[in-house]
Amino acid sequence: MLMQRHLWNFFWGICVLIALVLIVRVWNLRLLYIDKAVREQVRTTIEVVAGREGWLISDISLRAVQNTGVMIHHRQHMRGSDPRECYFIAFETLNRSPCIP
Amino acid sequence: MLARILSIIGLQGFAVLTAMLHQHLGVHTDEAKYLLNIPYPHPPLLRWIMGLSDGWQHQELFWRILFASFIAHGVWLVADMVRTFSREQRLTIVGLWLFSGALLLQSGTLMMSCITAVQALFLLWMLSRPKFLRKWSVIVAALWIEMLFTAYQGILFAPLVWIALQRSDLGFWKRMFSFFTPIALLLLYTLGNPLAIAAMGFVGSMQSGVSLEQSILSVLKIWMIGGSIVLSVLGIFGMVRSRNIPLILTTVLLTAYILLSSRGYYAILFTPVLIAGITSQPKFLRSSSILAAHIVAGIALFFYVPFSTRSAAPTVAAALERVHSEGTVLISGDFGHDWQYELRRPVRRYKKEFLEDASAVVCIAPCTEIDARSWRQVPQVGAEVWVRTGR
Repeated sequence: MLMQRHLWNFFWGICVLIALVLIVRVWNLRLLYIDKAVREQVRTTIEVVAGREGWLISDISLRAVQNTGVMIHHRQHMRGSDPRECYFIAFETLNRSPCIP
Repeated sequence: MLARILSIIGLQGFAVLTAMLHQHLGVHTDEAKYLLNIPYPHPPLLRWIMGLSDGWQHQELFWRILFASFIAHGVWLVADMVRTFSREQRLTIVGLWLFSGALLLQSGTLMMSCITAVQALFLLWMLSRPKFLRKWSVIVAALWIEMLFTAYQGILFAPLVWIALQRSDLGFWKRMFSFFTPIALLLLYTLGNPLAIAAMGFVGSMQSGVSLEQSILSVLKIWMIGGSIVLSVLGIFGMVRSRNIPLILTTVLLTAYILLSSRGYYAILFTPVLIAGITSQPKFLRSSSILAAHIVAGIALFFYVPFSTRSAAPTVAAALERVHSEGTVLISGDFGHDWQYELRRPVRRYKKEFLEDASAVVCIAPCTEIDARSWRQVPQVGAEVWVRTGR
């Protein structure tokens, strides 16, 4: 019984940890879901920048969405260590500036 | 004891052989996604673990053997599900598992559906062990979150998880939280990875041009492969005859899912539910002719259903290695993730502006403006490949 109780506590602890990590992530992306105009801007920005840089969409992950732009991680998936970069891309200019990953 | 040891060796030999067969066929784009931990479409649990090993030289073979071993050694769970039956019946159901078309075709592949099928089989085994289930209901909860975070299709087995939790000794609220919390976490994960949603939408749109008749035929074909026709029919008969509502619901969900997104590799998802279906009809397991027909159908399907064609990526990668080309590769046209996997270097979509910084170009679609003075073509590699002269 004690073993099962410990395992259940461990299970709920894992769930809480996962929830906290994911809630922070979703919070940073909330504009994507609540503002249709921002959603469209993000979509266009990602497509344009990926095309311009020759990036694969699957190598891009959204980190945060703001009214002025979007923060992305670009990770080139390959065998061994993957080169990673973080960029903030402004909606207006579509220029990318480095950010701290 | 000796028989058991020989069985283990035989099953492991089967796993290694099928792994080597699929290694010969090469890594496919979906498999490369998991080996490289590319973050869509599936949740991260298993692909993250697999991605940790992407620097190993034998990563692909290692995981193929491991996946195939899980599938092959599923026989021990299957045999235990009918532990009260006669030896002949147990051998029959083991044969039904091993010679299902889906198993023969997919053992050795690196698809998440294989792992989901094994997870579902484990869940069905727990349902066949009521005392164990009541005592160790935490395993059901852990398995549920593991299934959902391995692949989205894990949600299709929700009816089985629901009934497993209902049969545990948990209180009402604990059962509810155990069932709904992993689903809520999966939803949160999906919202935190919007490109996964976009990828699902894209795959769904590919199906929109397919007629209902074609979709139904695809589902039928996949269902027949899942149980080598014989088990496909008897499994459904068994679950309907025994009024096993969770199994029936799971089968309905699987069917609906495959109707919307029919892929051959979903066939193995049917196999564990069909096995569970037939366990309620012991008389079928006494008939050697049923097993014989199943084996013949399974082998026929293995030779009839075509395997995917080998990509040009490994050949191109080997050619670039021979000419000592290093650095970024530009690829023109549509290409799969197997190119990222095989090339072992940064890959970008071809644009003329990137030529200056690239060391090689692969032209799956025609390339424009490659200067023959600076670039030379690599012959006989199954694709149009250019490398810089002097490199």
